[in-house]
Amino acid sequence: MDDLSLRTEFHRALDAVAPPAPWLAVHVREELRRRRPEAYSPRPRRAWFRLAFPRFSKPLMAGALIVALAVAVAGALLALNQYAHRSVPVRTHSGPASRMCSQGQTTSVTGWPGTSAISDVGGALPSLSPPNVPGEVKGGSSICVLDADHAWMSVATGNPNCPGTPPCAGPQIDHVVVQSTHDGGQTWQQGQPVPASGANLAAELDFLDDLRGWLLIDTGYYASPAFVRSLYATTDGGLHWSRLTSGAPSDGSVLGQVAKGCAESGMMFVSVDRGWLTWDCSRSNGPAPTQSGGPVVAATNNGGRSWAPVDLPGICGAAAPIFSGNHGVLQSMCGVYWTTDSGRTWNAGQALPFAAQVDFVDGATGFYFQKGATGSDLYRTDDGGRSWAVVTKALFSGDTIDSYQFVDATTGFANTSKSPATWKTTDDGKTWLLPAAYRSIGNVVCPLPWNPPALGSVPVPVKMVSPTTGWAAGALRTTDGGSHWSSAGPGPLPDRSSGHSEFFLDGTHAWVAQSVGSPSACADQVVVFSTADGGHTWQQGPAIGHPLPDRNALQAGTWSPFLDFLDAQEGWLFVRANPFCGGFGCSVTKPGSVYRTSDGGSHWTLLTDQAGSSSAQCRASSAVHFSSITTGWLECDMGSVLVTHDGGVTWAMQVLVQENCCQISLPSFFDKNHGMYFDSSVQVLLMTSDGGATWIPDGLPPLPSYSCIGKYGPTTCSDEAIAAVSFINASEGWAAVSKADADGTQIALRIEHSIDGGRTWTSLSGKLPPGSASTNLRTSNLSFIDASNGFWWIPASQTSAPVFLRTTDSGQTWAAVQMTFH
Amino acid sequence: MVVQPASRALVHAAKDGDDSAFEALLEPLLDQAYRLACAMLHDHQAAEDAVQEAAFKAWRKLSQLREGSDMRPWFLGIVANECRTERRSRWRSVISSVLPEQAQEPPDEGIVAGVELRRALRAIEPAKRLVLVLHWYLDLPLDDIAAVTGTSVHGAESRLLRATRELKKRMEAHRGRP
Repeated sequence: MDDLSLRTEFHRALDAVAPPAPWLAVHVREELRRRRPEAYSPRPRRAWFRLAFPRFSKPLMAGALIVALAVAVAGALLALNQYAHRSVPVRTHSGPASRMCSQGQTTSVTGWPGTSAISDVGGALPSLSPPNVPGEVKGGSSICVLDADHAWMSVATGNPNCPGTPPCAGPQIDHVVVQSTHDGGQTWQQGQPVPASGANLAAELDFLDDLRGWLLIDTGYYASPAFVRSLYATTDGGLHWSRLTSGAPSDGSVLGQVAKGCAESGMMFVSVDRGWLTWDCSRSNGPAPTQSGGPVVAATNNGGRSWAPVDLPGICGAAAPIFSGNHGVLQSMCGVYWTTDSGRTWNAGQALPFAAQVDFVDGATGFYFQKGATGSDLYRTDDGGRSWAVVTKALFSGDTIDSYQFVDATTGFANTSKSPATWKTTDDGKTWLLPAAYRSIGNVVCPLPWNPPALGSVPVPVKMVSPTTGWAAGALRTTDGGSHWSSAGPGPLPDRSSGHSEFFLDGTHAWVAQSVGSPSACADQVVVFSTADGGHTWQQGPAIGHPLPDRNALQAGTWSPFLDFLDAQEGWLFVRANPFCGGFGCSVTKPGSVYRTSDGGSHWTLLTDQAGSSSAQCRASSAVHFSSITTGWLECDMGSVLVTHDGGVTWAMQVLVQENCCQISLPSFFDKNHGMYFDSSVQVLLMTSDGGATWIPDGLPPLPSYSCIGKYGPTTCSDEAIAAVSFINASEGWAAVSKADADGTQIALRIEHSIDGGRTWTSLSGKLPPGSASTNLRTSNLSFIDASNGFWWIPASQTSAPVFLRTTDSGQTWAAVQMTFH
Repeated sequence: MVVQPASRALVHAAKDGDDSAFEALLEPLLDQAYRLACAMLHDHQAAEDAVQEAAFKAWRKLSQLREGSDMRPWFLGIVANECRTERRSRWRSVISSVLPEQAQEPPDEGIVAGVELRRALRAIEPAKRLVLVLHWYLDLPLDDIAAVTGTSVHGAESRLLRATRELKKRMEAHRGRP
């Protein structure tokens, strides 16, 4: 086949499965506009802000709200558009200020975003999301959080598939369902579905108290004959909704005419009678042309039955107003408007710098940052924007504010690009401080130092070396089979940074590596401790100055050590820069360094600082393992490993599994020549008998399969999969078989046993105990230490507690080990 | 379709927070992005999700776009990465395909016509599949392919050669020819 033919063939083959998508630009634009306000700014965010942004409506809202709270509590929430900037309200109608409830509620201490509750240091973020609604589809998502107990969330239901032949506009929506909680998200009630139709449906929720609320549904496509805006009300907390009014372009109503084609930006009721609707005309609901002028605000004096446009000259889009008594502010992309008569008349405030990001905490007091020559200047108004005064100049010098928020007139939070923690002010913005646990080197804020596990926490078993003796993360040690654990580590160094690694060879020999800082860097050395008596005594090795090429990573301490030992003397230390994870991406472009010891860690020699440099396919190495004095492997991030055959001086890429993408782990060895590699993501077991030079696919237990209709037609399916594999030698091994539940939880079904290297398997009859089910089952650690004794650590997941299982009869029966750390 | 390099003024405006500028930059790239995602994922909905996710990430990461760089390979690289994430997130309950694909495809002439190539493409590892799609389907020059895949131009070229050879071999094997 010549090139021209191949090109033609490609177009013929792939054009058929990639039809034109005229709706795509609209969908992408809408998704972007929906997510931008929740994302605050286009700058990188810290790890604990990097919560999942699911793609579909309810999860999206839930995730966004988790983020919104984190930001609120941490001080984020600075959107790019003034009027799209959604300050997290101090709160609504019961507090001193009245504002819409769609962004969550916070105080200076705690926050509640509708689906999570956290502390102001960004602690736990337990998801309290409502259950899935049957038939849920994209669209109609809205949330309202009234206080710490009361919240509502709307979703659309319908046919998720394109109603006709593609291209199509999206799902066919038939209802909007509002779920409510009155106990902080512990339980949710589903309201009576509200009829709705359309493919691009938007919804807004607002509640005055725990019973009285409003739901605005906009069918989206303004150009469509089916376009309609409908307002519903409830008096029983969202269980039942009745339609108050509707508006369509043809009926001449205000609701059908105002802000044609624009997206709703807010709905807020200050009383059972008085309410506001606002629109943002830089966004549109559907592919309709956006309005170029005219009112973008409407008000009602009869609880939403009728609406009157509020014409504010020069306004360009608006956010829902905020009131404190008669005083109120209304933000627009073009500036701030203020009122002192409950919104009957509005006046333009003092002109602000272009794109100033104002955060109003009530109807009078607001803040904004302005980038100055030597930092950021903070301005404040206490009269609704009529006048502004500088609070503090030159804040966060050398840094850039990603996002900020004031939760009241004195307390605020800010995130900056270079800080791993959130700044907080409690004196009106005059001074900003980081949590005490952080130390700074100049303008660089160091990552939190590694800390040993706290007493009482659940140990994470790493390696059991006998039926009784084993190690857990943090150099915890057990001598009774995992029931009781105690700290056997060397103790943390005073100037330690975040980098930390442990290696446990047997019951007595272990090593701990700790990155250490200096007055000029968060971390620029690594120290390795060693023990030969089970952690009773530790020997501190020399401080290894680290020549990592990336000076920024070195100074900021964003690098990590990894240890591996072949025996009590021969060991390796691999050091690499951590991936810099900003926003949604992690990047590592620097090669790592490999050190070698032949005396158990007393002396270390640098072998190379270029491990991984020759392969663009292997950039994020994160573990090292040697099978012999010459041969070892480093983990990669792109479906490959690096292998060395000269003891660690030179490294080359080796692809073990062609189809693997991102879950690669390192092979394990039973002796110098025999080893195995199991990858649960692609269900592959590889064996080697020549020290890893060649890898042969070996047999996994056959799983029951059935004929099914797959995405491309009839095929063979199985509901089961191999979650974990453990071999004690080249012949005898065990495999844990699991089955996926409807919600993605993997339930352990049985253990399979092989004594011929995986060629044949026998199902063991014993039942597995309750608790051996987890969404993390495929990352569990099944480890047999001899033909009789085995352990299985199943880490905690969002829906299950961690479980440590033990067998003493070759996997026939398993029992959960109750672990305590004291 | 020719996609012009992003206007410097637009990129500056977008980096300064002008969302309409960002959308103006993005929109000409969406068709290619969607076709790339469809070719990688073979699923319209998943492809749309991948493009949407990529668009959002591009918006978040726009500051990382180097001065003077073309936005297309940068954005397509994000899309390709999203496709990998999409694939990774799918639990493989489908173990293997046992029936000829012709019987599985809808009886549309256009769709049936490309079965051999699509099947061969699906059997090729994602990294190779990506360069094949970028070169033979999206008609990207090697410079752009290298930028999308994060390799050198030479690396992209050699990978493309290997992948093309493998693709042809697979197609010929399917047709019963040597």
